[in-house]
Amino acid sequence: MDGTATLVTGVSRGIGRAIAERLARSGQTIIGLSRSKPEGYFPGEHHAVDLGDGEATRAAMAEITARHKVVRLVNNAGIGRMAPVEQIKTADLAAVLDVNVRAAMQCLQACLPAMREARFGRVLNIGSRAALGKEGRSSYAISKGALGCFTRAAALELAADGITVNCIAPGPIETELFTRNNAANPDMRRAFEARVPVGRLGTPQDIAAAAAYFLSVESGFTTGQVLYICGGMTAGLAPI
Amino acid sequence: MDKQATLVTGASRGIGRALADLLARQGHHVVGMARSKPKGGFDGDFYTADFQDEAASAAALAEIAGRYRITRLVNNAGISHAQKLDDMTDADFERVMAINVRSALQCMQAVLPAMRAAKFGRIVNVTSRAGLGRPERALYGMSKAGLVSLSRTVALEVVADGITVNCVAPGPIETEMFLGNHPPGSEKYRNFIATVPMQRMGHVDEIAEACAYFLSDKAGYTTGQVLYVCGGLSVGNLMA
Repeated sequence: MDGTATLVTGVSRGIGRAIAERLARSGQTIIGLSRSKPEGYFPGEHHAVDLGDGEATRAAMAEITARHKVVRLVNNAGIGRMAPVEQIKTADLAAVLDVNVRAAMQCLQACLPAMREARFGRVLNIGSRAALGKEGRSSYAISKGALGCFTRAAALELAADGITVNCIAPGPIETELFTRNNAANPDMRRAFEARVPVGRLGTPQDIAAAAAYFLSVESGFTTGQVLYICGGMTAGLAPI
Repeated sequence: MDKQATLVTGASRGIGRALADLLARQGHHVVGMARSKPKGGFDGDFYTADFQDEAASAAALAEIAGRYRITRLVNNAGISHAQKLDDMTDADFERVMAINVRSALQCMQAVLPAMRAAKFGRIVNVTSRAGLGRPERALYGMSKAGLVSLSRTVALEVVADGITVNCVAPGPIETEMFLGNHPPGSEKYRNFIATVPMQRMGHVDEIAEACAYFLSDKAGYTTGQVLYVCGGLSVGNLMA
């Protein structure tokens, strides 16, 4: 449209897919990154890359940024690896940090020259309510907490260049990943829903609507913020 | 009275005015309230009431609630002036709390029946970054922090009826109120802007757009949250 592009990671399904579709409808040129190809029609260019592989991520980003001015970036890709704290293997922790934090930083670094040149940029990191604490999610919580802190630090460094960096922290969203871990059967699902003040699980579209705000031109005075979209689960808890 | 309407307080100028204009453009039937009439035309209906006067506010709100189905409310009316702790009087306290907090509570109480009947409601309370602490803003900060606490509590109380309650917390925005406290060109103005990571003031439309997200149908999974739109001022600590 205006020669710029929007990069979304983790687009094969769930939240990333919904964000890509929402932004494509508003006219943005979408580049999607994920390990596996999205099924069916994807409204943009797709690159298959394993974000757990630092060298592969670097190469893919070099190729993309050579051809596109990516001035909007959504770091959405993430993996979980649930385990009680005694059983966490350091290799699993490293794998989670690789995808959830290191890849996010690499993608931002790759896009920064174009953003600085345009004196405009929108970076959105998808964190998680689990960063406030959730049983069996130490590795995931560490990574999402780190992503929130990265958001705030990067926001301060980039503010003077018109680049905003924000974070959406979803609560329980009805994705394949969530359903498998938390709502595998109707009883588990009802029990979980009963803990959500809004009384339902969220949808990827709930997140996409907020993402559209943070990526808009008009959100230019909003930076370094973490917005929890969690059906009210964080009301009554201390925020980070 | 079939048509749903959106009530915006403090709508005569500044943020409230910009928001009323934006919502009218988006197709809302806007009902504005403020102490004085807006200059020029107002795209919607307008009621004058002094929020310092509890009885007058109640009367105006009863009339509005009898005439419109208010399913969206923005408590934006507020006053602020720089004042050292030693100079504060009880009358100052009463006045700031009446306008910034008590009136917001009154407005919510007036419109909640219609929201509950509709099983839908969106409430946005405009608070302030000063609620995190700012010299010479004890009363103002206290009132805005109180409004945040009120929002988080009400969010939990009304969630089962499909009503969300969120806060937008502006940093320095180019309004008469802000410029009155920091005259452009003054040392006070320059010193303050120097502390903003974005090195500029925000525009009223930038607050309006954030409010518009929280007021949208699609924001139904977001409740009890506070979004700072502050140019990064709430992040880290650049003020040594």
